[in-house]
Amino acid sequence: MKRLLVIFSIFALWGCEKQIDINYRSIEPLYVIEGNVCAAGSQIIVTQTRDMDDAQGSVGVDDAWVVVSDSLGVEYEFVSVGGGVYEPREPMVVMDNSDYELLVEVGDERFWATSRVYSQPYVTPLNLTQQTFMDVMTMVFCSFSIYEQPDQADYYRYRLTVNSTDSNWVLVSDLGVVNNMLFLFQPLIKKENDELVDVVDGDTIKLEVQTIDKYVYDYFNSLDLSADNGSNPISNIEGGCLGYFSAHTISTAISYLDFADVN
Amino acid sequence: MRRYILILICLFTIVDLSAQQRWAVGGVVCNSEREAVVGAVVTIKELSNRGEITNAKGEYALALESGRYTFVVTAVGYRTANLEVDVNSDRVVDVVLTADDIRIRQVDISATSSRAKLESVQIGVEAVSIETISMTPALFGENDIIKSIVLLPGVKSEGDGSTGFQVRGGTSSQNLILLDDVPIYNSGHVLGIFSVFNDDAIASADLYKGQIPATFGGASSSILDIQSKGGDMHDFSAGVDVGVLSAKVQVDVPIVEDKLSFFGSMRRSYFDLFLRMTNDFSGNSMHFYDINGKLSYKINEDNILSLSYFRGEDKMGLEDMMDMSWGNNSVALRYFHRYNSALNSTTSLINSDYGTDNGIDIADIYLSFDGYIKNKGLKHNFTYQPNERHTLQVGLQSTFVDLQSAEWQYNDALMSEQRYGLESAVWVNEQWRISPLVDLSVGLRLNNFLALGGSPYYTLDESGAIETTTNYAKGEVVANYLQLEPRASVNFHLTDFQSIKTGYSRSSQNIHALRSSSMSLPFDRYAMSSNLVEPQVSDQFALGVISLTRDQAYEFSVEGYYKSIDNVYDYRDGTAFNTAIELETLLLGGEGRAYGVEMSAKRNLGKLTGWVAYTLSWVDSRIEGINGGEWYTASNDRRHDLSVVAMWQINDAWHASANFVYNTGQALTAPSAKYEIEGDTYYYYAERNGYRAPSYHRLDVSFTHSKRRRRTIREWNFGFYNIYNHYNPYMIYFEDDAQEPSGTTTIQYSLYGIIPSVTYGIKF
Repeated sequence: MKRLLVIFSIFALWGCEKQIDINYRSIEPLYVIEGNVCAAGSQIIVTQTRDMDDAQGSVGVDDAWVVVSDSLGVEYEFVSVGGGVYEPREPMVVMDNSDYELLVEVGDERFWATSRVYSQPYVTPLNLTQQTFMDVMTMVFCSFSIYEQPDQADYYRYRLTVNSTDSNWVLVSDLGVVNNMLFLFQPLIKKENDELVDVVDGDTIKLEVQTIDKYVYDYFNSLDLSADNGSNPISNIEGGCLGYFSAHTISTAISYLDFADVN
Repeated sequence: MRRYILILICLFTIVDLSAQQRWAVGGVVCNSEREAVVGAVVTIKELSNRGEITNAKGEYALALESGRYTFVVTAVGYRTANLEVDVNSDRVVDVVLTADDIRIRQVDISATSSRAKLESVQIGVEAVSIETISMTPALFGENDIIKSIVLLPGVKSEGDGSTGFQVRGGTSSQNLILLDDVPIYNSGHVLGIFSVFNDDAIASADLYKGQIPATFGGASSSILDIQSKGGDMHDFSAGVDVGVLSAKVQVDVPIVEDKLSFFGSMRRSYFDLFLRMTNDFSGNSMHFYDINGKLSYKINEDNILSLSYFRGEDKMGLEDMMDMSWGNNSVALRYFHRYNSALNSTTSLINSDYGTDNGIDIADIYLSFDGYIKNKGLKHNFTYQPNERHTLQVGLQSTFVDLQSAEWQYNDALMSEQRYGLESAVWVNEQWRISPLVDLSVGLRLNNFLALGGSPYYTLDESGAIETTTNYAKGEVVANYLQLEPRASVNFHLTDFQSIKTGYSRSSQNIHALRSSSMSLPFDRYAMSSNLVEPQVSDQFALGVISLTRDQAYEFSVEGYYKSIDNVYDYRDGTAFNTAIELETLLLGGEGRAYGVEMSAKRNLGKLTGWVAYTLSWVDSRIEGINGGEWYTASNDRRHDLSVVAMWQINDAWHASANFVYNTGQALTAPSAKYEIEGDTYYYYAERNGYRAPSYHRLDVSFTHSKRRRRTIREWNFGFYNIYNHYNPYMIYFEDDAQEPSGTTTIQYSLYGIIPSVTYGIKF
């Protein structure tokens, strides 16, 4: 929404941006947990919030006790590898249609969460199209469809990568599903600056789709809106920390750009 | 002291001071289009200019002994009328005023409105003078009623880029704007440059910010009642104005002399015409238009029929890929009937349709999001004025509402949420001159809202997730809300030039607008009261003093208020208008309170006129689930609000005006800490609205040159909006910046710097 408003304002030709000073008030640091569990590799990251005028980068917390357990009761202990990153001590088996629980203890505080892994959907091959806007800009779009498993939650995150240039993650829910099929498309836009990716024949375009549960969807959806609303995202972790815990599957599709085949 | 004792005696004994043999003389003051002239002063020359102010219907009433009198009737914008009247029985004396040429500026613009404000029993009412609107500086050379009312005490603009206004701590979504009794939604053209109300098409406007008369309902904060202009019954006239961004035409046509007339006006922007001249942007559109039309038929002196039409629309499009449009379409049929000199009625049939239509068609994807509100209703009001001391109003209203909060299409997937409702009300309002020193207005409005079946209704769990869905039959009552809304106000006339007023008002609102941004864009969604959403109910107390100098050249007023509102709804944290089609799942309800004091000083007479208005106010909200459920400063809280308006008639040809506004910065939610997720920086918000944006201030000036020729009047207007080019905050956001030592910068985005404009107008 913010971007849309800025576009309209630019249309009006009178907008102006300037930097202003705000005297931020400090608060006690809060713990931040990023938990990802999937067959391709699981990782828990524990960090803390920093003051707004703190120039230091993210500070990891390496003295936490981290355990993930599955619905069969198998526990996987995660150990610190430095920088607040925790990885399973033993290889972890991640099963579809299974619930996973996260437990993190650090100092006197205890945080816990549950997330469900759903069945992996079928993702169609990528289809590339291009469209010219106002005779001044040509955009390449990547479209694909997700065929869902019947009777399961349908929430996804996906992103495109051109060679090694990532685009932003995109969240989708079941709002556009017809006959268990979700048709999606996305322009090739760089994450780092929201500009179009310059593509040439032979470029590798990779699609990565995470099938997530509703609570993880709610977290990332509210995270996207947090700056516009001035509100904190809705975490699925109990105990009073920030962040999320996501157990999910990952589907991928790869295409090689050939403008002769682009509609 | 003696006067105060007299007031008390009058209050408790209700002394009838008109016990001598006197005749009731009254009537209606109207213009040549048979529209009521509100605030006209009817004085009797032989009685030391003793007089009366016409009410909202243009009515006045006097008690006179037998004799011959000279009635002197004055009103802003009209030529003074002098009538010789023989009084030897009860009689009706209607007065038709001839419009002064508004292009040749009036200097004494506000003396009558100040007197009317002093005399009026209502507290917190602002009659918006159309002449004053035409004399305040204009953005893009266009005068605008909404831009003018935000200069009044207790009224604030929602900000640049918006025509929304906030009254006494309410939000813009808590105002109801009526055009000829028809509700108008999203009243701004794109980017808030203009409101949809063309000032050429407005006859009168009243803003009820305090005590709302019982004849009105449906808004928890304020009601802006706009009456459109009718055609001249005698003289043909027309006008053309050409400005920087838009042009407008108007025409007054007396179709049948003194019987049937037509007024029409149309305004259209032509920014898109410039786009079409370019190669790169020729396929794009960005324009708005509005059309007003009114047909008035005077069947006879006691029966008047009018049919008014309004259409306003905005359109934006990028070739055939993106299209946005939104607008209001309204029709009102009104019938005035006078049974006798004491009793008349007004009946209105209304039909309105506000809709949004937005679509994107790119590559193989088609997206659309639409919505609408349709009203069909009847309003019938009797006014009974047996003598000069009593005015009784009794009426009823019923409106069927068909509301589609959203309809979304994503290729073949289509979903929508639509609801039906029936809102009805009956009211009684008595305005009673207890004594020459005390006026009382008491009213009661009984409002009933029925949420009707025909679409799914839900029950929700605490997180807002749907627990059960019930499909009620069409017409079946799903929820029934009955609100008793008492309204009362008293005016104590301390002297002929001072009065104290106090009042209490309760009002309810059943259509809840959920704003997506303050900018005038079609992304607002609307919810009706239902089994989950309860009516907003506001209670307001107000106490004020108004004083005029003896020559009425100066007006001073102070008014304090306290207002509380229950069932205020906003989006839950982490949701937006497009998060779910089921709007109720996105909402959280709470309460609000606002209190403050408004002060104004006004100069009415002389070459230099204008006013200074200052408001000191507080606005708080409490919504479970936000800020830990504790009270927090509302986002529309502005501690200090100052407006200075000056209008200077330099000579017969030149007129200059300026206004300066200052607001404390808007309450702002700024982060208290930052953290990383997936390598990106995000912010943690510890308190809602705990900071302040920079203050808002700007100065606008305009100069107008008018020249009368034999058959025409031509006018040049030169305006400068924000003349010292101060960039005011529109949006503040936070972002990573590797160049900064802290790695974070705070960016203020502003919409408008200085905007010069020139407009040429000709009237014939």
